[in-house]
Order: sequence, then C-alpha cells, then structure tokens
Amino acid sequence: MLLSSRSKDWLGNIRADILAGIVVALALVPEAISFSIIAGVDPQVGLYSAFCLPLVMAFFGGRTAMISSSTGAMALLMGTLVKEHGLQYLLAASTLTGVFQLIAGYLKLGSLMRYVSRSVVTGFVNALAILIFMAQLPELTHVTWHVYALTAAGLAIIYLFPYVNKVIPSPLVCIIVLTIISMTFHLNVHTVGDMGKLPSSLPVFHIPDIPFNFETLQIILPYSLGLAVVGLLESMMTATIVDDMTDTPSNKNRECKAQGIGNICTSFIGGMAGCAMIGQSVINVKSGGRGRLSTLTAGVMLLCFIIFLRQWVSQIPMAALVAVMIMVSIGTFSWRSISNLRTHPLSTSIVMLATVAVVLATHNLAFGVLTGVLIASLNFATKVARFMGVSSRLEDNTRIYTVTGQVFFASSDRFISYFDFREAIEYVVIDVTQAHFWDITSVSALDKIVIKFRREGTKVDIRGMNEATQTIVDQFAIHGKPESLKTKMSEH
Amino acid sequence: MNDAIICCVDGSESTNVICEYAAWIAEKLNAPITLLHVIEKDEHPAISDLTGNIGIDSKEYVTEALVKVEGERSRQMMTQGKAILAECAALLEKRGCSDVQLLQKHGTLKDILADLENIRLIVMGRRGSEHVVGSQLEDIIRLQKKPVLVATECFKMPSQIMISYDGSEASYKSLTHLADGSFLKGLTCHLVMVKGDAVALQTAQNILQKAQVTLKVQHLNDSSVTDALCKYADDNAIDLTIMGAYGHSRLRNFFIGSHTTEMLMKSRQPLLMFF
Repeated sequence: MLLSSRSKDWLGNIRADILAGIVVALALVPEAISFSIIAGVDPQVGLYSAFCLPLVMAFFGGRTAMISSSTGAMALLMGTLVKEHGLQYLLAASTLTGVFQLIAGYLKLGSLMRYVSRSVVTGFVNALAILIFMAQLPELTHVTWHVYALTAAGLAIIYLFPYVNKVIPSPLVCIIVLTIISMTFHLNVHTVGDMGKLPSSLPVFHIPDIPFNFETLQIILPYSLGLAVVGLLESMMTATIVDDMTDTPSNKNRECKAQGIGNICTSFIGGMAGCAMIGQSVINVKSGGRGRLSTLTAGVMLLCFIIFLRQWVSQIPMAALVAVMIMVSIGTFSWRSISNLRTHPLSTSIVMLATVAVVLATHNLAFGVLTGVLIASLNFATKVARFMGVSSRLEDNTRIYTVTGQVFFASSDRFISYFDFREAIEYVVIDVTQAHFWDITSVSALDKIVIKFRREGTKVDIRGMNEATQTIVDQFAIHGKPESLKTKMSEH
Repeated sequence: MNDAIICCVDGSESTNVICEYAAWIAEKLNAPITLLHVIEKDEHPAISDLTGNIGIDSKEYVTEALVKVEGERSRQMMTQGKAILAECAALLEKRGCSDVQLLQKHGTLKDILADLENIRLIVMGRRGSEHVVGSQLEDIIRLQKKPVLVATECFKMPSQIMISYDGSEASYKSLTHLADGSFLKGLTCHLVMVKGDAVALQTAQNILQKAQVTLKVQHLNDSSVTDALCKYADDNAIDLTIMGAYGHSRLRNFFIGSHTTEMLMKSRQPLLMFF
C-alpha cells in the first residue's frame, strides 16, 4: 500500500506538474539554505534534505502535490542540538525522528489531528510565519544600507514582476537580479557562500558518526520526539490545506509513514529532518502541480540547480534570500485571521492567540499546539457544561427534580448546587431521563446527592436512566449497591 | 425493486449504440434501466500561475479562484450530462423501455458503480471520451462481479451469438446460469472452445441442448486464443460474444497479459463478460 499509486497520479498532468516542479525547486533553494542557517548547519545539509524529501514523498507520500523539505518549524528545534553536540548528532536525531514518525503512521496517529481545531491551525501558521520572519532579522541588523536596499528591491521584484511577466517565477528573477547587482558593484554584503559548504556532488550514503550508546540516545531522544511531533503536525495541517485547495482526498496515515521514511533516508545522506511546507505546497498548487510528478521534479531539479550552478549559487547575496523568506512568511501568515478577530467568538480568538504566544515564547510549535488544543478542549467543556439544568416541582409530599443535559466533571458542581437539602421532605424523585452522565465525577456527584438526602431522612428515587448513563452508573456508583440499584433499574 | 441494468453514457459517439444494446438486453431480461452519467473531475488544474510567489492570503485567493473556475466547469458538464441523459431516455422510450431512471453523479465511474446497489448488468462503451480501452473496465469487472456488456461502435440486433468456453469452473457456472434463463431463446448459439479439454466441451454442449438452445459447437485449435475467437466470430457473422473475464489474478495478468484485455482490443463484436 505504501508504494501504490495510480498511473494518473504520475502521468495525469505531465506538463503542469513539471512546470510547477521547476517553480517549486527554484523557490526551495533559498528556503533550504535559509533553514540550514537557522539550524546552524552548512547549507548543504538543508539542500540535501530538500532534494531527498520530495523524492521520497513522490513515491511514498499520501498527499500528492504536497511539498516536503527542510522547514523552519523543524530547523528552529535543532539549533541547540547542533550548537552543543554538532551535526552528526543532528543526523542521528533525524533518523530517530523518522522512526518515531513511521511508528506513528502504523499506530494511525494521523487521526489525532481531529483534536486540533481550526483556530489552533491558524495559530500554528501565524506563529510559523512570525518565526520565519524573525529568523531573517540577524541578516538585517548591524549591516550596511546596501542590504536594506537589496532586500527592498528584492521584495519589489517579487511582487511587482508578475505584472510584467507571468511565466518566469518572480523569486527567481529577484535572486538573479540581486546577484548580478552585488557581483557587478562588488558590494560588501553577505553571500550564500559565506554561510558554509554547498553540495559539490550527489549525496552519498553515510551513517551518522556517533557513539551508539545510551548516552547518545538520551541526548537525541527529546529532540527527536519534538521534531517528530512538529513534523507530523505541520505535515498533517499542510495536507489538509492541499486537500481543501485541490478538492481531493489524502491518506493521512500513509503520509505519516512517508514522512518517517523520508526523514530516515534523508539522515543517511547527510540531510536534516524536514516535513511538509505550507508555503511551498501553496506555490505548487498555484503553479498547477497536482500529481506525484510535481514533487519528483522539484527534488531532482533542485539538486541539478545546486550542482551545476554551484559557483553562482554561492554568489547569491543573503539579502535576496531574506527577501524570498519574507515573502514566504507573508504568504504563510493568515492575514484574514486578524480581521476575523473582530467577528469570531472571543474563545476561539484566545485559542489562536495563545497558540501564537506560546510558540513565540518557547520557539517550539509543539508546545503551542498543545496549549491551543488544551484551551480549545476546556472551552468546549465549558460550553457543553452550560447545557445542563435542573428544575423542580412539588407533588403532594414528593419533590421531583428533573435533570436535563450533560452532567460531567465540568458541570457536576453546578449539578449538586441545584438540589435543596434543607427542605424537610419525605420523598425525592430525581428524573434523569433527559440527562446524560459522562464520567465518574458526575456519578459520584449523583452519589453524593442521594446519600445526602438519605442522611436527612429523605427517600430518594432515580428515574429514567438511559442506557449509556446506566453503564457508567452501574460501574461506579456506590449509593445503590448491591441490590437496591438493580431493583431501581428494573423499574424502568 | 427489480435489479436494474446500468447503462453508462458519456456523450461519446457510441452513446446511442450503448442505449440500443441496453434496450435490447433489458427486454431480454425484463429488467428496468438506469441511465448513468458520471461527471468526472478534470485532472488538469484549472489554474496554472507560474509566478512562484505567495502574498497576502494567497492560499485563500487561489482556493477561491479554483472553486470559481472548477465550479463553472462542473456546471457546464452537469448541463451537458442532463442533455445526454434526456436524449438517451427519449431513445430508450422509442425502443419501448418505459421503466427508465436517470442518474447523474460526481466522481469516477468505478467508485460510483461500487456505491450503487441492485445492479443486474452494466452496459458501457469500449472507451470513454478520455480513457484508453479496458483501463477502467478491468477495475469495474473485478470490483463489481457483475456481467458487463461492452458495446462496439455500431448496433446490430444480435441473433448469432458466440459463447467462448474454456472449461473452467467460472465459465461452467456462467454457462449453467445462461442456460437456466430465457436469455438464449431465439438466438443461435455458437459454443466455441479454443484448445482445452474436449470432454468439458461435451458437458457444456449437453447443458445447452437440454435447455433447447439452437446450437453449433466448434472446437478450435490455434496458438492464440484471441485470434482464433475473433476469426471465428468474423467468419460466422457473430453479433455478440459471451465470455468469462479476468479469470486470473492481476499479478498474472501483469506478467502474462490477459485474454480479456486482448479481446477488448481486437474483437469487432460486442462482448458480454462475466467475472
């Protein structure tokens, strides 16, 4: 299943797929270099993974037309590992990341994405965009005015050139023009060549050079877990975005496995772990890429560009890359979410903002998503808890309480507060026909009520337990055990 | 509800022929007809913008643009499909089929047929407007396990039919099934076997004779099953060939090739295939 594909996935859209693949490859070059710099490794490391991941995904991926490569979200997590232990540990961590993702795929954890609400996704992309932008700032501080001028010119070309010509990708024009300017005027600005080694050949197989012991595992394990989670999160979110854009379905669990395989392969040819990229996938779809061929073309063309144009690539001024990355962060950010702040309910806006805030504070997207999911769940619990009420009426010497709605941990305190234990009365009937007891908190609340009434000398009768309520009450309630509960149940 | 004959139309040249065959077989089997038009999604992207940049809310704008263009495309195809269905229904009515249902769906023919229940038989053209011969037929036959009548490019009221028999269990089963029904009444049957076991052929002959079918039996010997069958059909003015289809696994077909696929390509007569 992992390799199965229809011929239509490959050959259904050849011309557009190849063109889109080339456009994506061109845009991947600056991104891969930028993200390598964020991670603190040679551009070569990011470029190898930008070659390997799309290639593997073309065959294994569960979402056609989605572009995977070295990404900002992952690179941000790697910085400290590289700084403290070096590249080899990063490669080992990448392998382990892949293994975790592969396992996640087999455990079908992709379906856990349903707990990630829309506002969390929005928060995620916004945080990601801000982080990508912030990662460019070191290139823009303490530099000469040339850099600012070049960056501004680059952005102008990227956004204005399409009005002149729609066939040549404008980021490419930006890079070429800025490189020519910086070379002809011999500007004293940072170039890609200053940032480290560029690939000079095809990647070769290479086992990470680390001691294989428990200590190593201790070092890389936390990083690998974080990388695996963030990688899968971004990949699943991107897959959903591509699903929506192309109106075609994807296989999320297969995509999880494919990400795992991709990262394992990448680490053995000296590339860093990566995941799906939102910006690039949008560019691919926009350029008309739909099939597996688009991804394959992107990977292969990227390596061709790098190897054949190495001399020139190393001359690209960093300002050009910064311009492209600013474009990526602008494109990744959900601008609509800002105007939506006014119209969306406060609770969802808080989820989005909390996700962004936590990511910006920790530089770890996983923590942000976790926070977002938590707040969203609490929100939900609070909202559902409101759907609970108790009304009471007096019939002769019997007080009848009618409970409606959902009784669970968030509503059980309020549930208890509805009952009047001060009332001196002989009989109490609690009618729960319209209610549902979800957990042991709610059951023990009911217990408490029954016992409390009994202590006051009141006889209590519970009416109308539905099936689901019964199971949980049968399991956990103590008030009616052993026989009395059964007789009560059999009355209904 | 009676199990229906699904008549797959797409507006290609053979659409009328398909309807004619559906009408013929519906009368034979006394079954209602469901006319099916499937709107397949165009795999080619509606937008191809090679500028390679993404700006403010590009994602949303591209999606909106795609929805607009693809929606327009679908609307057109829907109207076209409705017209095709109406035309076919009129033709069927002329042929005396009163019990005709119209059905229009989005998706691929294979998936739609998989979702439909109460299928008796499927009538379809050899090639859709965009598909190569047999590419989706194999999937449909394997998935459905229902008989499929593959029409040719022109209609001729069947009177001489050829039953290709290979002695396998599957072909024995479909043969007894055929002999039981009224399907073969009024037709001249040519029971043909290429290579294979003469005893099996004799058994088959007995079954058909018992059912009082007008019968001719022929045992051919040729290196190529398909060529022999096609040649016999041409020489004897056969109007319809009945055969088992895809008796072997996909794996075997991949390496050795399939008689069914070959027949689909070479046969000049319509094929009625059983799985």
